[in-house]
Amino acid sequence: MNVNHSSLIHIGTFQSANEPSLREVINASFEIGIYSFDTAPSYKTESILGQILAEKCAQYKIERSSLYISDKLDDIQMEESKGNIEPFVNIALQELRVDYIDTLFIHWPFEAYLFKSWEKLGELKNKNKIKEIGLCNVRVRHLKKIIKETGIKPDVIQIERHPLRTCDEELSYCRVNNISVQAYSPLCRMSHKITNNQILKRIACTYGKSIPQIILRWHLDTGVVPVFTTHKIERIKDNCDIFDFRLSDQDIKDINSLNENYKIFLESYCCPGF
Amino acid sequence: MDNMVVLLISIITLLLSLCIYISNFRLKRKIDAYKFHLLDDEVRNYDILVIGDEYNADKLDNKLVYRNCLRYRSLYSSFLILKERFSLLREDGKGIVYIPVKRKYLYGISPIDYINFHQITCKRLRCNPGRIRKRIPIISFVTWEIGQILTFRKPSQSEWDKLVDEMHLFCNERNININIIEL
Repeated sequence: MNVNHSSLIHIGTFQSANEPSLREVINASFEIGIYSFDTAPSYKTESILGQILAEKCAQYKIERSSLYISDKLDDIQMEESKGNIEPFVNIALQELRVDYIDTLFIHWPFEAYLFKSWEKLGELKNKNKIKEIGLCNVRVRHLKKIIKETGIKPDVIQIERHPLRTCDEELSYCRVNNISVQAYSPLCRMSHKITNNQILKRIACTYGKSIPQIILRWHLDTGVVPVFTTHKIERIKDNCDIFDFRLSDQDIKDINSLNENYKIFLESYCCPGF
Repeated sequence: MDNMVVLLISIITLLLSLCIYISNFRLKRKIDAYKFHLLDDEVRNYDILVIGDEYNADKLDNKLVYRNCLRYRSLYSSFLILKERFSLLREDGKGIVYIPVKRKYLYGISPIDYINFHQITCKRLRCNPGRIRKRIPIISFVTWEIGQILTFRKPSQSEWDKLVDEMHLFCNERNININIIEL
């Protein structure tokens, strides 16, 4: 078994509701020592993930404390419960077959019921049902507002971040306030703007790595944990082969210069009134 | 003679059904044209968003323009769409949103709009379109258009100003330049 790099790289399960495919992905992750997984009710993968993880942990004799599971509270749950989200958290614990969730995020910062849901998450953290509480898809203005209104700081945020959207303001704020950052769509879904980019190609050539490996390393070297989703086993192995090198400061700067505030997951579309 | 009448009625019924079917089909395509496909529509950071009633945007050439204009669209409906689409606008404060509307259309939501709204928006407006409306939108669309044509009462100045102020506040908080154009 390889060294456990679980805390440095996470496997997402968005668009992964096909059980055989997800099973292969999780199997490959366990084989290379990645035990960190991300899900959400809207992904429809909570139950499958819980089942497969229970089997794999028994097979590989992995303790619960070595696993990292992050889940989310969706907008419809906050709306339907009017912020009293504990029943939905209990459902998530059942689906995932665990006693606690490592990180529970609010998926989108819908203003109605946001503060109430956030305060409830704080209470559940005190009850040890959740180790960390987090917010997804937030800007600095959301963070400032939620901390001001509730007095509860998030432990972690999860945002769309990649070379075309470097989120410098959010990273800077989180660094100062000791908030961890995770990045979803860390490779910008390998859009043509990424695959055809000359700077990324040059840097990849310099290190003898692929563009995805360079970008994932860039996330790590800038203090961000990437959360990537794939259905291909070979990509898990390739994307996790990034612990034998580090990018130079100049290379990091060059990648940062690609920022154009390009968002795949349009915030206002997913969260009207964002 | 009776047979002729039956035949005539059958032909008229058939033609009418065909007209309704074709109109419904075209309307569904129109509804789809207003839909935003998150992972397929790749353009972002528009210079200008035009959201509202039908508007001639020819003077906005040489800029990257997103148009979402629909005949008889109300100010309120435009605001709801703005809330769902404003992230398409460039973030450096140089983008602008134009909201062209006719003053007499303050509230009211076209079936084309509410079929495409976010589920939470629909839930709060209690306008969740049923399956029949989604499959046969022509019924609700014709009713709505007739209603808009027959609208004669203009809203009061205070009603209008209240919504306009709300829109300006929303945009200021998000560093969006907005220009409401009365047609």
